[in-house]
Amino acid sequence: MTSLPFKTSRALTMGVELELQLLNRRNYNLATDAVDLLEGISSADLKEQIKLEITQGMIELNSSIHTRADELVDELKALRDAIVGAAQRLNIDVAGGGAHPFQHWGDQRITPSQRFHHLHDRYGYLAKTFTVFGQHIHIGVESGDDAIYLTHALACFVPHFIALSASSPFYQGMDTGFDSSRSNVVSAFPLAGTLPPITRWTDFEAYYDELLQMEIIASIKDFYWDIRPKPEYGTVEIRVCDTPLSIEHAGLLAGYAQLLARWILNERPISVDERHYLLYRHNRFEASRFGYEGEIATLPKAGLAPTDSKWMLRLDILERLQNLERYTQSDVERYVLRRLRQMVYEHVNDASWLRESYRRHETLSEMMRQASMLWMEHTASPYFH
Amino acid sequence: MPWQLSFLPDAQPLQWSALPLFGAMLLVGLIGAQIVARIRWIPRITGYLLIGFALGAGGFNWISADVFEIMHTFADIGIALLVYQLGRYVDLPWLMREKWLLLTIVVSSLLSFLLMWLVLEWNGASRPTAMLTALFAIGSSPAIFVAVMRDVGAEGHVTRRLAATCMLNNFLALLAAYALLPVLAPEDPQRMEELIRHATYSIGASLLLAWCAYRLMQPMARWLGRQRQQQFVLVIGMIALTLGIAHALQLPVLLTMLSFAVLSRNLDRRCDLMDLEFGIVSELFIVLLFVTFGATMRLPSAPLVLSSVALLFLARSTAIGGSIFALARPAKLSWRQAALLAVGSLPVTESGLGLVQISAIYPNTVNELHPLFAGTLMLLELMGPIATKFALIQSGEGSDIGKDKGRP
Repeated sequence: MTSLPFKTSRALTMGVELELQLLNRRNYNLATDAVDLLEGISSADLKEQIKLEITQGMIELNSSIHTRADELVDELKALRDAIVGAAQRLNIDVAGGGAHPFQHWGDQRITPSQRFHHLHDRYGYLAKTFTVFGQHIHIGVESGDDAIYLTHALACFVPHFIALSASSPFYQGMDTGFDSSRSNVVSAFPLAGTLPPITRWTDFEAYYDELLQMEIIASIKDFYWDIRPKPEYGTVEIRVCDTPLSIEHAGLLAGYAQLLARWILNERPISVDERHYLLYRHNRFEASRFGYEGEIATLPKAGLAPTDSKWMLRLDILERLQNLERYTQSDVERYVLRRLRQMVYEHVNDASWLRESYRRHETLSEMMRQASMLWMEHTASPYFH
Repeated sequence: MPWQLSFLPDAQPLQWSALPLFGAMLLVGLIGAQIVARIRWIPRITGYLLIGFALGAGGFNWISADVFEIMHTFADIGIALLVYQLGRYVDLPWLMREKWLLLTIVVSSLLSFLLMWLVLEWNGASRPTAMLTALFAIGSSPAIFVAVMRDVGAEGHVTRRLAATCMLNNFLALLAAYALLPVLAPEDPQRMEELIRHATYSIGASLLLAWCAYRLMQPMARWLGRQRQQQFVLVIGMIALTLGIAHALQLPVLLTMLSFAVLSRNLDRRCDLMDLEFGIVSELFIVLLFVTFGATMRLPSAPLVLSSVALLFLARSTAIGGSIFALARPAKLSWRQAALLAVGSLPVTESGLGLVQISAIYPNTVNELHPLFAGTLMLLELMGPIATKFALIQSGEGSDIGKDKGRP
């Protein structure tokens, strides 16, 4: 049997990966400069934290490990500055956002690397459609069993992360009607979805080993789950967020994940059984499609009418943000909750900002120029300017 | 003997307008391109050039003067469209930041001029002829570059640098050539004052016309809003209008259009002008542009012209390649990218053809320069597209199948 050792890490530490859009400054379509951009980063240390992605209009920033959201944001600013310097040399811009609004998937070029070419061979056009941009949040856990539990428990809050981060309303030149169209793209992969209802790390190792033996997977990276354990880092990785339009927003989402994890691992409030994921896809769809205005559902409880099992996602998020106040340990954490609450109260997220920007400027190119300025020149979310 | 059809009223002879011949030209150009496009490194425009050459005075001489006139009108609009598209790549704030790129363009232009002048004079050309030819030949061909770039769907670092290089070396070459023409041209010294006035007029009025055209277009673009179709018509209309005025005022057309394109890209701070893909419509102009270029090409007749063309090609390639390689490291270019930039810059500009415009005022000069330019074009127009396609594909920024293959 192949062992899959879980590397213990300090509980509730956090880190993020941010996939960013590279844009040519002529018409703000996706550029193809990722390789040149990476070569243009002069600092060897920073170079370690900037990675190529499957197609050449994408680049990924990897933070180091943090305990505070403000320190994470400071590091992201330094990485942003390095990447912007290199981008300016190439005359390209960099932007957040979960999907480029008008790129054509067929125009994307696979980044030259054995892994990416293998993915292209295996998944065909899906590999190119995977030119979408997400924020992955890693939360440190001490054991594999904790990782499995946290993975299942956080699944209940996937709609929260989708609604709070949604920034891909436009795709292939159209307003999709979704706040996050990116989440649909990811769903097309055969190994997308959720962790099976396994509750112990040893069981997960056995499951992993079986798939490995059957040559269905080659590594943990082949699971495109919304949330997955990451044994080599000792973390649980939340992968459903669109990349936000601003750096501070990325910090807020990571801070929220950290607070949720603290509550979940302390209280163990969620029981995981075979019914855990029955409504998962419905809730996920509601968040992607309608954002805060989606209606989420829970399995009816005895004595309650089925209609009482559905309510507004917005209210669910607000309630959770309120409850997490008890678990805050610093002003930074309280600031995270306050900012997120403000967004939900005011019904604003990046998707609504993009739609408003499109309404004002009339072209998707100009909308992307505005979005790139937001990423490159500002730190705070646009609603807080 | 004119044909007659007895059943037509009054049995008048058939009046052949230029239109069917013009249509035939398009179709034949299309067939030529389709045939050569089967060979990997040969772009479609080489097919248009070859067809034009075969039909033109260098070949069977089947193109009549009236057809040629129509073709020239379309070709002028075609080159203006391509230059306008190229201008979208010239982002002046970027060039101000990328000082090594700017330096490379200036150094390669100067070195090209010096080397070409020296080898031409060494080969027997008179000093004025050698210097003027060298000046006009500094630039890379905007038409070839944009046409090939569209053909292979190129986008990326090498493409952007080639575009900026092409735009700026033409600009430098034309400014220098028109500024120095009165001094260098082998004309009557008594006419010096007239020539200086003409040069000042050519440069000043070109820049002024370009600025006026932009000042007219930009508020109209704002008024029309970001409607792709309307802006498309606006740009085509402004290009045709500017072109017509430049011709009427006997201004250097390429200099005017280059200035118009750069101003449109860089003064439009509110981005009222949309970036337009001219797509299918510009393909029509491209066919006619390159068939027309082909029709103007001549096989170099004299051995002196032939050897001059070969030397000019060698000197220009050496100067451009040398400059790019010398400044590659500070410009953070890999050797491979430097080599591809050098290859991609090979096609020489068609600006020498613009000399025809000034043949009235510089009769001796045009007579001396024209054979050399026609010969240079013959060589470089045929090699240039292949070199550019090779560079763009090898850089990984363009592909054999281009962008549009497989689209409905």
